[in-house]
Amino acid sequence: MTECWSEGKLRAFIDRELPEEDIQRVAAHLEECSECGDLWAELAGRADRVSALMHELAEPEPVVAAPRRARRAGPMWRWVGAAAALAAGVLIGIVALHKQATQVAVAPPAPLVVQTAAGIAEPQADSGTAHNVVTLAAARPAQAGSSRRNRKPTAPGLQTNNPFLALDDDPIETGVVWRVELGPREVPAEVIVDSDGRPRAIRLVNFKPNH
Amino acid sequence: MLLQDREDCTPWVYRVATNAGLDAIRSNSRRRRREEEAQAAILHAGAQSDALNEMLRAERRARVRAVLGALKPRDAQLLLLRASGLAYRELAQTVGIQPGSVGTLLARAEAEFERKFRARYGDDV
Repeated sequence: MTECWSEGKLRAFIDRELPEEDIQRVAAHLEECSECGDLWAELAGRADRVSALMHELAEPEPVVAAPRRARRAGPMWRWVGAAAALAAGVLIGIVALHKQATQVAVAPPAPLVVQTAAGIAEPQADSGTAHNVVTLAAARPAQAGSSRRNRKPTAPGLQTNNPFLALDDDPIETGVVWRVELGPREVPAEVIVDSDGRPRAIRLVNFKPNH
Repeated sequence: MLLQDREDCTPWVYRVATNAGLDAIRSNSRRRRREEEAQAAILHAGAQSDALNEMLRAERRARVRAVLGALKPRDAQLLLLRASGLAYRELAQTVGIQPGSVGTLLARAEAEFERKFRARYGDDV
């Protein structure tokens, strides 16, 4: 009989996070070792259950809308959030410029202004800054149950257009989306940061594995 | 200069994001009040079946957050970031562990999550 594998290696095998030759060796071993087979089944079942619960935290998909003209009048407080979001965007842009010079990966050249159904933040169309308005379908609850359970990542980065993973239960009224690139493979991701500078949700976007 | 000395600050961004989320999870009182208000509003607003489904989902989310808040921060981060689709290499970089340890630590985090979940809410995992 071939050698048994550790719990950590079996867990990585479930996510196909082992080198290809090790994946073949683990698969061959599981055919002949009932003990490892039982452990693998236990780990896989638990991973699936925990993943399903974690995906309960997922937020509905945001819908990107065309830029619109700003309202001409409105209560002053409505502009406080927009001003804070735009200021954060400018700050992020400055940071991005510095980071380009220093080869750092976060690069949000055009921050997105996030808007909910409440319609609080709208950038001025004539401000000279290229903004996209993002409307979150926050009023509509996400699909729950079995459809979410099918979203478990079974291999690194296989999902495209992942839902935002909410980090708390506060409604996201205004904020900016940080476009970042993760790690040496430059996996694109987005972090929603609200007008208080608080990260509110994260997700990977349009990522396809290169292996 | 902010972030200037970091070779790659994206793990930092994710670490800050998940830390902020975990802090929010632990500030239970305000969140619980909001959840109760939201559930009451839902019951009055929509159709009964939709309201019930949303209330059940809100309850499940509250449970998940409660258990995450009771885990060690590193375990909670691993589960959150894995659920958001990060590969093991990115997980290791973000959380600050060896890539070869991710499988072991992830398996332990999942076991601990499930154990705490069952202890609080029974076998409804």
